[in-house]
Amino acid sequence: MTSSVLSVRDLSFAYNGSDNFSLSIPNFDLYPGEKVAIIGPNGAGKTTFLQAISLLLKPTTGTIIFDTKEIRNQEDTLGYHRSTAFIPQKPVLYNRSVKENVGIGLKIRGMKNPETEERVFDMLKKFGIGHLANRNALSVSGGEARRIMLARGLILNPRIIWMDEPFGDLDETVRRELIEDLIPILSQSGCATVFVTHNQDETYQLADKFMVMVKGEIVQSGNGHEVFANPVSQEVAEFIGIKNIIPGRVVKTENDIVSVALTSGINQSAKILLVAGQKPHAENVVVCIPPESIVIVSDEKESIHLSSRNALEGTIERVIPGRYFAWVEIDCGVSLTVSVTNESVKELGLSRGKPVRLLIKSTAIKLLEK
Amino acid sequence: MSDLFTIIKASLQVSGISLLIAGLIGIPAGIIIGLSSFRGKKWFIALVNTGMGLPPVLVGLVVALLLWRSGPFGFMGLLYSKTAMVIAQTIIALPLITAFTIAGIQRIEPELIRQTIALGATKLQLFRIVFQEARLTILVAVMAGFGSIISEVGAVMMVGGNIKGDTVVLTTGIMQETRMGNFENALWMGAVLLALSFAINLSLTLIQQKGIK
Repeated sequence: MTSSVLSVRDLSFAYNGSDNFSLSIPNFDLYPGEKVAIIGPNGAGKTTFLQAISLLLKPTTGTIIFDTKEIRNQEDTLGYHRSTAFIPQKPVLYNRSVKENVGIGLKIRGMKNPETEERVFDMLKKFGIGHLANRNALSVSGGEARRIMLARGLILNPRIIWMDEPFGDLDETVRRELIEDLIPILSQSGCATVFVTHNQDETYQLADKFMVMVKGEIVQSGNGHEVFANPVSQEVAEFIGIKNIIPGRVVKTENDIVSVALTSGINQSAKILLVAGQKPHAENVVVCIPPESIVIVSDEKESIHLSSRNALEGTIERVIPGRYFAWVEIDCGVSLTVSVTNESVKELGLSRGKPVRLLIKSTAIKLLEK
Repeated sequence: MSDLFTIIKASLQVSGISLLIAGLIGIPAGIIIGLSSFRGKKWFIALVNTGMGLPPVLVGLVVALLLWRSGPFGFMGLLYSKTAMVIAQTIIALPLITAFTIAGIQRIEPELIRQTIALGATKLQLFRIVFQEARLTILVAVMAGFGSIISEVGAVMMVGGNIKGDTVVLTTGIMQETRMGNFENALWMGAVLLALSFAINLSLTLIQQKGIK
């Protein structure tokens, strides 16, 4: 394995006079070319993490080893800043022309004009904003401002690029265009990327590693499948948008089949769910049922052939229509959300108040530690 | 008429040098105060802001007392000289320039300062970049400083002594001529004062507006 470009040990940060939040990162390693997404709910400390690890905030404790050399003093910090680039969340532009904005980092590094100009124009072209070169940067649109900031960072050939919600306030089309332009530029540059976001869609395209941050701590990390299909806790599951999270207790384990008694008010039809292929580590667990793996049936007979499934009875509370799928909320003592295609809603005549039968495959249910 | 030229020259000399000194101290001081955080910063800024309303007569009195023959700096023999006037006017302009500069720096988004540090700027480079960001407000600071001293009578009168051919400036000249009943001369001087003030502020404004796109 190649050696890491950045190693962080025991990083912590606490705001003065605030007991509510503290950042605590025991371990963080970043390898060349790696693209890491830090995801997590609002207020989880993602921005604080990014600012502390990039030394824009002075960490309370911690060791940062950049390029096998520990950062000890102001001079090291300056060198670190000059080898990395930070793209802030809000548009931050100087009251100068666009080309001066993009070239300012090179000027800071003592580069003189003709060479700077050439590289600036190259970069502006890469980001498709060559026509803006002489405009005042404060007069550009939100999407253009993002491009200027990214160009200003990437022109420096950074070893690491930090991005704080890089596409945060952009509308869908602008965001997609920018991401598509950015992907080749980033992989060409070969720099390691760490970016913070609460939007999960953009992470899939840009990142190869995911870290979930909750209350100042990284609670889970791994590739997309590891994180999104197997959330480690209820908090992570809720954040990544998993519905149908119900607390339960393991009552029996037999031949790979775990029987879980649901502790919160499910009705008589399903006090116990059968779960296959999972090994719970504790007695108290959280059951996650993906909405797309619940099947609604109206015909009694269907369930006979599918005895290995869990069968529940309930009444439709609400049908929330969508473009392709509808969310159907069903009261089975607890409320379960099921995703159904619009055609099925019509075919089965699903509407408020209708009693239905639900089938859930035992292999589709996930057990999480509480 | 040669008298008038001497007076105009004295006015420009005294206020010009005062403005230069006040700017050279006030602008860097304002940038440093605006950027740094220290205990009692708010109090300090409140004090500087109060200094903006410093009555010139009071400044004149204090400077006169200090430079009085029996005063602490009396041995320098500066009272009733242009140097004394420059000292007084520098004291009047300094808080104005400092306060406006601080305000200009504080209007800059903290994010921009953080970004500049992230881009690898040294302290000195940060100062320069921040100065350029706040340049429009800093020009206002210079204009305000200039306006306050070119039109001021109290201090220059007290420490300059209004000596003919030496420390008479436009404002004290107007006073003198009015007292003597030479209204025509007084009005001419007034017109010159206004014209000068306009010309200088016009050029500063043109420089300032060039920065706005």
